[in-house]
Amino acid sequence: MLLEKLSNCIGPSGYEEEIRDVIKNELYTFTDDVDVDRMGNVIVHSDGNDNSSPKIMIASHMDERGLIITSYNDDGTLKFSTLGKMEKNALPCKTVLIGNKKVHGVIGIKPIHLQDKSERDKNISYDDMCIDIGASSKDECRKVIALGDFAVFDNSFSKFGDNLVKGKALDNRIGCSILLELLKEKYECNLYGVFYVQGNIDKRGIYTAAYNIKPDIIIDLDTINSTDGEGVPEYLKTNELTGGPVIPFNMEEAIFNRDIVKSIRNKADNMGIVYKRSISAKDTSKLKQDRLPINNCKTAAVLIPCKHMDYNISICSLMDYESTLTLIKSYLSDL
Amino acid sequence: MDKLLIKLMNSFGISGKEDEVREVIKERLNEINQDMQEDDIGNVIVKLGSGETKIMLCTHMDSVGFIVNHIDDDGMIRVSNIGNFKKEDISHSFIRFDNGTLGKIYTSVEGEFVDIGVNEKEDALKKVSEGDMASLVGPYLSVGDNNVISPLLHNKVGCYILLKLIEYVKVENVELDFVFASQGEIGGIGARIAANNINPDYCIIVGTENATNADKRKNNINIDGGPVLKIMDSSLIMHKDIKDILENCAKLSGINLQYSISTGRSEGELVHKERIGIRTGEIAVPCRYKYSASEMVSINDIEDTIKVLKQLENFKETT
Repeated sequence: MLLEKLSNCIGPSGYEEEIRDVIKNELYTFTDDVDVDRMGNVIVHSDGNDNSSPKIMIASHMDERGLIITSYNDDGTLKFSTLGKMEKNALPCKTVLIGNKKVHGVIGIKPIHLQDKSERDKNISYDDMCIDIGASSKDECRKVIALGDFAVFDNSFSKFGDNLVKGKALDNRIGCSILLELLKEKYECNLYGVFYVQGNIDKRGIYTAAYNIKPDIIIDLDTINSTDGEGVPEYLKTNELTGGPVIPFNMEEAIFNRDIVKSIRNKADNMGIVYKRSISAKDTSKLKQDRLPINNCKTAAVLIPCKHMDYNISICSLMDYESTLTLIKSYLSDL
Repeated sequence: MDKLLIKLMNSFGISGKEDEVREVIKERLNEINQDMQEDDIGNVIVKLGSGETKIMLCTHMDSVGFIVNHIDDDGMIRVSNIGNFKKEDISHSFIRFDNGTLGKIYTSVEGEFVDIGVNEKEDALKKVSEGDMASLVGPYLSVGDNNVISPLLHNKVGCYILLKLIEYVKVENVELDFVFASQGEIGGIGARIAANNINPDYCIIVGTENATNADKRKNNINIDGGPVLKIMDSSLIMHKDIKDILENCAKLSGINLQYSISTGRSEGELVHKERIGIRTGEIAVPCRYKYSASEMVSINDIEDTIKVLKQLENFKETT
């Protein structure tokens, strides 16, 4: 399954080489018009019949959450920092793969029976955690790991439950998978597919890609934290798995073009596709108009609900995958 | 008080939905037989005169407001802010939605709620839906010696100043581009795009600046003290050339200026970094209680700002 292949690939923010190659190879099976820009974004042009029609860019970030090695501890363990926003309390005891050689490591924390009461209650800091690769000294560790090596979670993808999938990096490999399937079709419109870098760090790649393409419309295809769970107050239950994609008017201060948002929503209504309308987008990277270095561009976002998005393993529904794919395919076919 | 200013104050214009205030501006320009252009992002642009030098005079049409997030079962409408302001400052003020529905807003630890006087979610949904925009609304009061109190004086005052300038200025050998920009309160988006298209030699932003009131006694900006040159704020340091130009204009018109260093932000933030850089600065009308439910300005300061900027009609490069 395409999503499985993409989810198991390695590509944390800033180090997207492996996922970029996998996406390029996938693209070469059906198109030649593939370009890589200076930042590492992969740009595909799917030219419709009419070259003068408005340019529409659909963008999906390739990178996943990861860690970066910052220093060696004397006891042979490693200190680290994060690439992209991470749920700190979920890190201890997770297994990771470090660097291109995929060295196995385990994230450790000061043992609970050695913590005093105040330590047990307060939040963990990155200084309290380390990655253990089984080395017993700094020198032994230095031979295997270099400073600045990246690390990703060691999880594999699998299907489970009622049409659900779990795996690492569903944010945003699920968006990349949908975008790849979209690009396989032929449309009349002037379509650019962009797989951009550093999406989890404030969506950096999308602005440089837009500068080159100068699209008239940008649709950001990303994931959003799903709000199902016990004890969530009604007004915060903005989206849940199997509730369909979220097509919001705004994400906090990032305000989208109302006409584009309404036309996507109308398409969903016409096709009987269920969707959600608003989200709480605190601390999420957003596509911001004031960073776009082009004039006259209309933006919108289609977001796929993803449970435990900030953790090492997250859950998505294949129903949401299918309905988002169908919706955007029809939307593009109409343009 | 001038009917034009009242009309501007009463028109709905929130970042992203400036239709009503844009119509008022266009209607006024039609009344004085003035050509205008509107670009794709919704900026209204008027070009007067021609010459070697291009000066862009820019102000934003939109004001801060609210967008509906969710409607609770008891009919209370949850909103969140559009633009940057303190929710305590607007609590318990009157609210108008873009479709005309009226209500009031109150803020609490639970969030910001607009109450339109219904008790059930279904009744609320008949009037308002998720994604609708809402704005402060209220009567205006004429107080003191030619002062006015009203919500949203920022930035209807800026639009008023540019409209009056367009009507009265007689431009000689310089090109003046007046821009009524959209989406100013969320980062100066329209202004940046206008500056990119026009590519002016100088850009003067017209806005408002916080004036002293009971708890801001130290900042030395007074209403009825004259127009303010914003030497520095969080987003822009005024370019020396702009300072010289505006001080010269003030001298020619015999008007005293005030100077401010503050922590505000304006469209200047993006405009001065646009293209290879644009010499930018802001002149502002002093305003008490900015971004609150009732702001106060002096009409004298508005008129003085117009007089100062009118001197640009004789602009000559000094080098």
